[in-house]
Amino acid sequence: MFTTGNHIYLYMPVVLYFLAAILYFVEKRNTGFAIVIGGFVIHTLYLTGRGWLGTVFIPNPIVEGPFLLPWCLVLILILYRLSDKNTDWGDIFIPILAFSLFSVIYAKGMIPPTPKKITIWATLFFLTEVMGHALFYAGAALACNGKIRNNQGEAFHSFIVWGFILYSVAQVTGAVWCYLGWGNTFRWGPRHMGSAGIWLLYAMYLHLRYVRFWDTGRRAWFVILAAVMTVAISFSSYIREMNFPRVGG
Amino acid sequence: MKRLWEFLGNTTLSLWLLGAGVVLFITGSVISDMNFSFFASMNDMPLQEWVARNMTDNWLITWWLPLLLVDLALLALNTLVCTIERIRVLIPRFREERSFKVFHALMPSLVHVFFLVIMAGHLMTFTLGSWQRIPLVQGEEISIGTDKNPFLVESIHHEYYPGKSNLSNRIKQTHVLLKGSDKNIDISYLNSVSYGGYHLQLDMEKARKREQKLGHRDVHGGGEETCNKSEVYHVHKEKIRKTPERKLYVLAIRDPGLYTILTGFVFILVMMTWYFIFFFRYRNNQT
Repeated sequence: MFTTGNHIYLYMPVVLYFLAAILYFVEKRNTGFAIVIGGFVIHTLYLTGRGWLGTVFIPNPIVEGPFLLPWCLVLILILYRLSDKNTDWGDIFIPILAFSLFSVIYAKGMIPPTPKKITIWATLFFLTEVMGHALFYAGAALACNGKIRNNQGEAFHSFIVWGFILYSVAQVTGAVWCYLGWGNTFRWGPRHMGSAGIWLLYAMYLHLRYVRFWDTGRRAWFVILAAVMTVAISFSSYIREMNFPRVGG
Repeated sequence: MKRLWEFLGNTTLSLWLLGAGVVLFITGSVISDMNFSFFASMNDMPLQEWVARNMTDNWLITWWLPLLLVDLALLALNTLVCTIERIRVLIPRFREERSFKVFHALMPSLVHVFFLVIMAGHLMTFTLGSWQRIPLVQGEEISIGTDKNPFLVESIHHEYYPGKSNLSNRIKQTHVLLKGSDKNIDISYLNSVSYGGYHLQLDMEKARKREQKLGHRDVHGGGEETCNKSEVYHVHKEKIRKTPERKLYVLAIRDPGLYTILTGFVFILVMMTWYFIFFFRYRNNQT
C-alpha cells in the first residue's frame, strides 16, 4: 500500500491535529473540526498501510498501542463532537497531542510475530484494550479541564463507563487468545497482573458513586489519577518494546 | 452476627478491598517482571502445589501473593453479601411492580453474581487444573495424560512466510501429525484439539534453560514467550540465532474452570452493556 513505511502520512495528521487544536482554542471550532476529520482520514490510511510492513498483510502492526491510541482518541473526539455540537470536545486534544507526539518518536517497524500472535483474538484484544484506554484518557482529559475551569461536570463518567466495558471485552478476548496460545485464561505474569490491576481500579471507580464521600469533584480526581496509573503501566511496556528488533518501517 | 453481616456488605469495605487488590496486583506485576521465570512456573501447576514448593523459601518476592488471595476471598464474600442484600430488597419490589425500572435496578446484582461465577471458575482452574508439557521429537512416541495408547510423532512441518517478504525464513505456522492406533491428531499453533478429556495445544520453548545455565539475567520473559509481544524471542535474537532449534511441545490441559470463566464473562458483558445503555438513556431523558 502507498502509505506503508511512508511516515509523512503519520507526521501530516499530527501537524493537522496541532493546527486544529489551535483553531479550537481561538474559537474557530468548525474549521478546527474539519481539519481533524482530514487528519483522521490520513491517519487511517497510515495505520492501514502498517498492515503491509511485513510485505504480506498482518493486522498486528495496525493495532500496536502507540500508533492506535491517538487514532482511537481522535475517533472519540469526532463521535463526541457529532453527538453534541456544544460539548467541550476540544478537551480531548490534550491526550491526542501528547500520544500523537509519542507515536512520531516511536519505533516504526513491526515486531515480527511468532505463530501464536497471528489470530483474530490478538487483533480484537489489542483493538478493545487500546480503545478502552483511549476512553479512560478522554474521560480524564474532561475531568482535568473541569478542574482547571473550576466547573466540574459529570461528562467524564460516560467515557469511563464505556471504557470499562471495552476494557472488560479486552479481558475476554485476551483470555481466549491466551488459552489458545498458552493454555491459561490468566497467567501469573507482569502483563496480566498489570491488566487485572487496571480493571480493578476502574471497577473501584464504578463503585465510588455509592459512597457519599466521593462527590463529583473527588471522582474527577480519581479518574485523573487512574489515567496516570494506566499510562504508567501500559507505556512501560511500550517503551521496552521500542528496543525490540523490527522489520519494515 | 448482624453487625458482622452489615460490615461484610458495606460498600466502603468494597472500595478498600478493590483498592488493596489494585495495589497487590500491581506489586505482583512489578515483582514478577523482575523474576519472570520463577513466576512463570505458577502457570503450569495447581496453585497450592506451587505455593507449597516455592512460597516459604522465597518470601521476599512472594509475600504479596497470600495477601492478594486473602483480599480476593474477602472481595468475593463482600460481593456475595452485598448482592444478597440488594436482591432481598429488589425482588419484593419487582413482584409488586413488575416494572422495567425495577428489573433494570436488579441488573447490577446479576452482574455481581456472574462476577462471583468468574471468581469461582478461576478458583477451579488454579486449584484443580493440570498442564502436562510433552516434548515432541519426530519419530518418537508420546503418551497423553493417563492414556495408555501411545502416539507416534509422524511429522513436524513448518510453514514459512514467502521468501520475498520482510518476514522470510520466519515460521508462520507449524503442523504436527500424531499417529495413534485408532486415531490421528493434527495439531498446530492456536488450534486446540480435544482428546481424552484434554485440550491439546502446540507449544514452544526457546532456549530458556540453556540461557539460565549460562547465567543470563532474568530479563523480561526469561525464555518464555508471553501474549504481550514477541518478547524473549526477539530480545534474545542473537542467542536464538546461535541455537535455532526450538523445542516443540504438546500441552495437554485439563481446565475445569474454563467454561465457567468464559460463560461468566459473556453474561457480565451483555448485562453490563444493556444496563448502561438504559442508564444513560434514562439520565438523558431526565435532563
